[in-house]
Amino acid sequence: MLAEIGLAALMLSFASALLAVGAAVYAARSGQARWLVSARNAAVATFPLLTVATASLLAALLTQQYTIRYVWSVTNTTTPTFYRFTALWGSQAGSLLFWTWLMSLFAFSAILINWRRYPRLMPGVVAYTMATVAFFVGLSLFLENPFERWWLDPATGQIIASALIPPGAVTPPIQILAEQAKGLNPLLRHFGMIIHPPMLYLGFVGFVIPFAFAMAALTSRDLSTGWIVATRRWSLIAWLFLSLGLILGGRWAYDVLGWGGYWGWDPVENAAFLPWLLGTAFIHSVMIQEKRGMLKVWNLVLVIGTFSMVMFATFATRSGLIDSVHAFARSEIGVPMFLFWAAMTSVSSYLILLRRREGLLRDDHRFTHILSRETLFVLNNVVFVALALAIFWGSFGAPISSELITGTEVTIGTEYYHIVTPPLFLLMYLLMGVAPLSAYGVTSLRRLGMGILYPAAATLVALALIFVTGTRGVGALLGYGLTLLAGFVAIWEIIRAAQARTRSKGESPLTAVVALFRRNRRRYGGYVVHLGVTVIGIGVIGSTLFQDDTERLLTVGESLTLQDYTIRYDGITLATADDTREMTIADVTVLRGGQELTRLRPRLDDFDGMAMTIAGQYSTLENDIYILLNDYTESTNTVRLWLYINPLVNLIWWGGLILIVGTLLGSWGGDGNAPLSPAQSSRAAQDDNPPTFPKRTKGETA
Amino acid sequence: MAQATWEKPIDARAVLARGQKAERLKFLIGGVLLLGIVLYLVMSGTLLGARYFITIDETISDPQYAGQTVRVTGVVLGQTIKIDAESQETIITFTVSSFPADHPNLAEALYIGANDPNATHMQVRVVGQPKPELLRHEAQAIMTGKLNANGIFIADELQFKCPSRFEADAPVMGQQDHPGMELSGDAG
Repeated sequence: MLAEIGLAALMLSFASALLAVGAAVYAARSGQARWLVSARNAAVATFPLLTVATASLLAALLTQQYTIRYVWSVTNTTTPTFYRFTALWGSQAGSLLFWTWLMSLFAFSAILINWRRYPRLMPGVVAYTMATVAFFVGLSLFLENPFERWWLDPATGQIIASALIPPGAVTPPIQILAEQAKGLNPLLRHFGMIIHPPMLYLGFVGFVIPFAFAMAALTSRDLSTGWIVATRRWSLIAWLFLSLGLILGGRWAYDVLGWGGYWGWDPVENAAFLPWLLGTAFIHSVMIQEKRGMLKVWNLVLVIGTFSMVMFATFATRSGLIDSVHAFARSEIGVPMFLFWAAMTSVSSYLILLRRREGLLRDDHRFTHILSRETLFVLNNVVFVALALAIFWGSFGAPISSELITGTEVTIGTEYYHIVTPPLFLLMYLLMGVAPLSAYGVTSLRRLGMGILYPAAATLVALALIFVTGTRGVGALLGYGLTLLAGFVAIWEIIRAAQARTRSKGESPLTAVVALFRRNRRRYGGYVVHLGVTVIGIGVIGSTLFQDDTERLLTVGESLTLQDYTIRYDGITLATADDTREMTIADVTVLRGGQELTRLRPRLDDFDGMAMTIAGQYSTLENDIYILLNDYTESTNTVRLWLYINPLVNLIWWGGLILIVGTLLGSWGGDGNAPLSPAQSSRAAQDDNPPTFPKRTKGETA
Repeated sequence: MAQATWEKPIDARAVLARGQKAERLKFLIGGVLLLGIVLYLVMSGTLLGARYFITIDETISDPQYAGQTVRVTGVVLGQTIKIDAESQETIITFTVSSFPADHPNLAEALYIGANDPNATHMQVRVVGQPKPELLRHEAQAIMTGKLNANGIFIADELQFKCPSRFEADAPVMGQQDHPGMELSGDAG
């Protein structure tokens, strides 16, 4: 019953999406409003239909309908209810449906919210969102159908899977299906599994909307800032989810995969990082177009590039294209996905070139000075694009081209990333420190110097402390220095502006800060985000450059020491958990300088033959004490323990929290989606220049 | 700007144009410099990090890969996994077997490789890394390292792919079922 409802809903949503595309195209051609209204209705209808389809699959999972192949393959009778829920995205077919449902939700919202404000863009927005929805629903319907059921073919006695009932087939005995159901991969039974995929999907899918608006702008020739203003908040929120998805993925790997690390430069990880890089460049670069009417081509390229990378990442992950420990099983959706990606990238590139030739993408102002805000933002774009291209080359470019050209695949190890990315990241942090202080048109060196004086001084003080406490490496000091500078600039900008307010308006400092955030949400929210990125950067530098580890075989009562930490093996506990996993738990006492710090319980889990290592962790801001139980010999009660000291790693997670707060602050509330009037625009342009010091007013132009 | 009478008239536009040209030149130089640096980083990184991804047969027999650090994949033979119980440092040895890489079903391919008497075997040795939890029978091992003089592959990096248990990817009916039989809920 559920399968039939789900299948029907899926088919209807496919038809609806296709109808929407057709009607939108016809509406644009003929100029008839009622066709556009039909297109809109068909488009928004996909959301309730896909909700029915997704809800059916979810209901099937929760009520253990093992006749449905997907339910059979990701759950079994011992699966706890909670993981039945997350099993919706536990494997290919379900996660595809979930993804498509999210897309229809976003399209539904974006179309309805912007229906009156941007009528010229609507045909394009409907057409491009629905074309994408139709493609993914098509994938679900024809290649990875979540509603395929098991049927017993009486002629052969075999159980086969099919979405529609094969002639003469009957439902196989439920008992057999239930007994042989596969169940969820144990690695996926972790808190991280519950939010990491949905966060990533929200981020990926969120970028469909800015993409569709950009394509609509290109198609309709309405290349004002309308499409940017309309999607400003969408882009920020999509970016936020993508950032969260990446950070959570790292956290999950750190907690569960037992190697003390959080990022392996694995091609699938990199594939998710690429849209983040281009998306970050995009949300910065659009500011220049909004305030100065420049970088129009850049912005189109960046937003389309972001979505193109999303499609490529999805393709690479789901097609078995690359050998990665992350990749889904090889599947048939590879070729269609590749074709879709190639088509959308070609069409959008062609349109950009065409409009450029038509003169519709000219800058409203010239680049006049190498040290102007516009130039620094272009440099910013270049750095992010360079990072994206370099990472793409290492993960996909080199392996694929080498295989095509020489027949032997060449893979690129992590050494490549450790050479190529640090200089670019350092340049990124340098820009983060300098660009907020720059002005449109030209920035005098004096202005820059005055702005950076206090932050630079604070950075030197911090570096001196870091040096004195033992860090000597040039690379580390340079890294810490640039990262801290960016953070101090952000803090100083907030303080400076608040000071200006308290002086001129007599407000209390707290009122001044709140007023700042209310008046220019984007700028000050952005500073908080920069602060979060700084904290993350410090955490990454510390944990990457200064990780220390050791291992030892220990019998009961013996200890091992690393730096000033000692861990002592106290004994073993064997237990069985509710979900039938067998646990071997080591009781370990952690001491520092002779004083007991804590007791930890690293363990080895066995799920029916599949092993999982769960580390014992003691987390402080200074470092993580991370202990692995790697082996246990019962006869001698001997364990092999690994001890990792990961300095500053928790700053990564805390920095992530600051990033969330900053993004929410920067995008909250109704600063309106209406385009700015010319008067508002010029005022905003002036507003956006950093406040000058109250004393220096003569001869200092904005 | 005040001008003395004997000075040639200043063409303001020409001055502006020259200034813009100078700025444009600065941009161009800066851009080329940046591009050059990035290309240099990419090339040196590629040279350092590139590894041929080859088969076990090629690792053992092909002379062009002798002495090189390469990346190889093979299927683990569970009964050969040994962990040195005495050594303070983790020393793991196991044997991998070649398997048909082009086979559409990975789990089946690993099964075939693990049970094929004619498949090529290679010994692997790993030192100083925690025992990977996925190291088990019929797991796919992706290793980076070098074949030493004794024909043992010394692995610096080890990755494993979750082995699907080789069971039917579909449920199977018990033997007593045959066409036409009355199928009840508790058959099996």
